Amino acid sequence: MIVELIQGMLIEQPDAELEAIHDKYSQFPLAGDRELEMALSQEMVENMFGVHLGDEHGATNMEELIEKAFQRKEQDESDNASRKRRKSRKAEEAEARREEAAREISQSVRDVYRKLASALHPDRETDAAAKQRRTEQMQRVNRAYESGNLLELLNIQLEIEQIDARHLSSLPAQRMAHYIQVLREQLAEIKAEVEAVTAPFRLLVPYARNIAPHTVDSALEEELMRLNMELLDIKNDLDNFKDPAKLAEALRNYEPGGEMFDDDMIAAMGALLDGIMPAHAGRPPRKKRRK
Amino acid sequence: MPHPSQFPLFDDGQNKSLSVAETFSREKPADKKQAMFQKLATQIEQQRALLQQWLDYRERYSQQVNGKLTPLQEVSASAPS
Repeated sequence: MIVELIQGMLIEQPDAELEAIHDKYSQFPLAGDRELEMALSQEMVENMFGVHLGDEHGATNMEELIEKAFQRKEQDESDNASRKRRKSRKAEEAEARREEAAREISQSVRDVYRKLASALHPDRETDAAAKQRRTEQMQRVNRAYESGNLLELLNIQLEIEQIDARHLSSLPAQRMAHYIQVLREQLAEIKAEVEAVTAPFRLLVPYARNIAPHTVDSALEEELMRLNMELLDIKNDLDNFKDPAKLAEALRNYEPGGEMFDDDMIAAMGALLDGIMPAHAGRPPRKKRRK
Repeated sequence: MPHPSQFPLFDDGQNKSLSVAETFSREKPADKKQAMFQKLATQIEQQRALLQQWLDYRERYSQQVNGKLTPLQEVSASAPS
């Protein structure tokens, strides 16, 4: 009774003395009640704002909790925006680095081209034959440069002795890295070309694990042989059918349901045989005895 | 065939055909990057040779098909079944 009265009074006006009296007569101290109530309120506010306040929020009542949650939400949103800006800046920086690397790689190849063009320019040659040779070499250089064929450019440099076997050792590390990148791309392209050329042949010999021209040749030879055999059989059949005795023998050996002739065909052959050998008329072809 | 005395004294570079992969592989690679360069150059030349081999074969195969296989297939198709 005393406890309930004090609880009612405390709702209207907090009072330390009344709280002490309440705790003296109640088995549930008011401080414990408040802790539990704050914990439940915190959970509700955290769910409502989608934030986590932790244990050190310092709020003592519902209003303060809401204020803290609101501040935390603003802070979280600001942090997220800042993270996104950092991430987007990082992506931009990475893209810029990639573009710069591509420019440098392209510059490395262009340097090789310039050296070659400078050495092989036909206009600098007075001798007609040499001029012609240089023109052809320059065409090769242009083709290689246009197709990004670094290896061919280096081959030409070797041929005109602009570089030698020790050239690699003299290259700066960055230039070497660029060359490697270009060669990787070149290798990937040429592998794709090989794949495109061999793909139709793979369909011809799907069982071959490693396809090579000789495997395709074997398959082609087999097909030619099969067709030749088939045509030889047809020719033999036609030759045999010219001889009535052989035709009669073929018909006698006929097995219904076999692969060679269907019923219409055998009827037509019977009629044909009747015309050739009247004595045979009316007799159905004898079936071959099964052994 | 010209007499050896008729050959030019100096190589004018007309008939040279050098390959980077072959030439550079004579030198022992000084580091991993050089080794990688040599490996890639060799692989590219191998793949290029393979591509050329297939391109040549494709031409030969086409001749075989047009000259042998197709006529046989046509005869076979027109033969009485």
